[in-house]
Amino acid sequence: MNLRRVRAVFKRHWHATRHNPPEIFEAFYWAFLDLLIWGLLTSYLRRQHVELSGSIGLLIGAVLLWTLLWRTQIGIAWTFLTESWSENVVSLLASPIKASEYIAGAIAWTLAQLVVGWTAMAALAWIFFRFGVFKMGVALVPFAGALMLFGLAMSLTVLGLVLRFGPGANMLGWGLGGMIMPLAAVYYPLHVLPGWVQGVAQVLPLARVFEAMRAVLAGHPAPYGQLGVAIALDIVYVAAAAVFAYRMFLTLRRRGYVTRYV
Amino acid sequence: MLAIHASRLVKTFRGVRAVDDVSIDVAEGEIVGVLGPNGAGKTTTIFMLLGITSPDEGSVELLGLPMPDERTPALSQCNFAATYLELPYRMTVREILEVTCDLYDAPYERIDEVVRMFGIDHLLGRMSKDMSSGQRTLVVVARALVNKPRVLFLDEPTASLDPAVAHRVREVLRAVHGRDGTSILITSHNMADIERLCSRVVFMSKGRVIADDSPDAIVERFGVRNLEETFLTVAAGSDGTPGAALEAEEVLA
Repeated sequence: MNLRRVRAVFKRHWHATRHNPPEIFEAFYWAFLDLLIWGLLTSYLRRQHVELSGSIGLLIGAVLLWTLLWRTQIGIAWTFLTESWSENVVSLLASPIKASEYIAGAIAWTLAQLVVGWTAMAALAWIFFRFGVFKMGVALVPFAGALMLFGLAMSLTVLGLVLRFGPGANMLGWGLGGMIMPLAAVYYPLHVLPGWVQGVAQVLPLARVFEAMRAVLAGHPAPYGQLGVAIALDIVYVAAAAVFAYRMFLTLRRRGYVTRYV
Repeated sequence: MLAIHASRLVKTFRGVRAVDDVSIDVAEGEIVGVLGPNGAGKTTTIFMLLGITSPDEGSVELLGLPMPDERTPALSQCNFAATYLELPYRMTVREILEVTCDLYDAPYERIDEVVRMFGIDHLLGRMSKDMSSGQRTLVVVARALVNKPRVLFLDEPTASLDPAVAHRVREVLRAVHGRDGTSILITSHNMADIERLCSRVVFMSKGRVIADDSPDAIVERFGVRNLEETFLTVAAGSDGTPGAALEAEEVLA
C-alpha cells in the first residue's frame, strides 16, 4: 500500500471540505440537533421523575454512539459520492491508485472528521446535560469499534450499489442507516421488539452493542461476551460488504458502467 | 519494447460490438492518432487500454506490463486527459495538481514546470469552478503531465479550445515528446492536431480499425486530398451511407 496515494485521497477531501463551509456546518448540524432533542427529553423525564431501567443518560449515550455509526457510514460513502458528483471517477480509475488505498484514504478522512465532530458532541453533552461519555468506562472502546466496523460494512455496501446503479443510488447512502435503526434497539431495549424481529435484530451486531451500553450505564459490568459476538459479526459483514463492493467494481469495468460518471 | 500493445480487443454492449477485433501497437516515443466518427469505438478502446473497462476478448500491455494485473506500476508511468474529464469541485488548481502528484508519486516541483509550459501560472490559486471551460481543459492537460508520463493518452484534448490555445497545447505536446520521448495516443476530431502531431494514424469506424498508416499514405490510399476528406468519407458510412466503411476497407485491400 502506497501511503502517498492514501494521503492523496485524504488531502483531496480535506481541501474540498475546507473550501465549503456549509458542508462543515451540515456535518455537525444533524448530530447536534439529535443531541439537543434527546438531551431535552432526558431533562424532561428527569423532572417528571420517570422511572427508567438504567441511567437517565442512556438516551444521550445512545445518540452519541449512534452518531459514531452514522458518521462512519456516511463519511466513507460520501467520499466516493463526491467523486461521482465532481465527475472525477474516470480520472481516479485511470490513475494508479488501488481500491484498497482509496478505501484506506476514505477511512482516514472519515476518522479525522469523527474525532473532531464526536469530541465536540461529547463536550456539548457534558456542558448542556452533564453527561460524560467516560461514564461508559473502557467499554466505550469496543462499543465504538463495533459500531464503526458496522458503519464500514454499510458504507462498502452503499459503494457497491453506487458502482452498480450509478450516482442515482446515492439516496441509499443516507437511507440505509435509517432502515436499520429500528432493528438496532438504539433508544429502547431489545425486548420491546416483537419476538421474530428480535431474532432478526440479533443477526446484526448493533442491538448487542446498545444493549451492552444500557447495561453499563445501569451500573452492571460490561457484557464483553456479547461485545465479542458483535465484533465477530462485524468482521463477517465487513468481509461480505468488501466482496460485494469489489464484485460491483468488476461489473462496472465489465459492463462499461463508467460512462455514467462522465 | 512497445509503449502500448493491444491485441484483438473486443467489447460488446447489449449485443452491439462497440469494439471489434482492434489491435493497436504504439512504439516508445511514437505519436499515434486515432481518428473516427462519433461511435467509432475510440473512447471505449482508450478505456480498455487504461483498464477502466475490461475487454470481452483480447489483451493489453502498457510498457510491457499486462493490464489489469499490473495496472498500478503501468499506470504510474502513464497519464490521461480528455475534454470530458472534470476537475474536482471546490479545489484550487494548485491543490488539484498536488493531489495528482501524490497519486502518481511525482515531486511537487513538477507543478511549477507544467503550469509554466501551458502559461497557466496565474490560475494556480483559482478554484476549478471559477474558470472557463477552456482554462479547465488546459489544467486537465497540464495535470496529465505532472508525472512526466512515458505514455500519454489524450481523448480529444483540444475540443473545447480556441485555435490559439489549441495551438499552444500542440506545441507543448510536441516539446514534451521531443524532450522526454513521451509516447502519445491521441484521438481528435481536429485534423490539425493529427496532421501536425502524429507520425501514424489509426482510422476506426463501427468499432473496427479500417486503416493504420502514416497520414500521407492514408490520404493517398483513399484517393482524397487530406485527412479531413478521408474522415468525411469514413464518417459517411457511419452516418447513414450503408457499407461505406466496408468500402473503405476494400479500398485499402
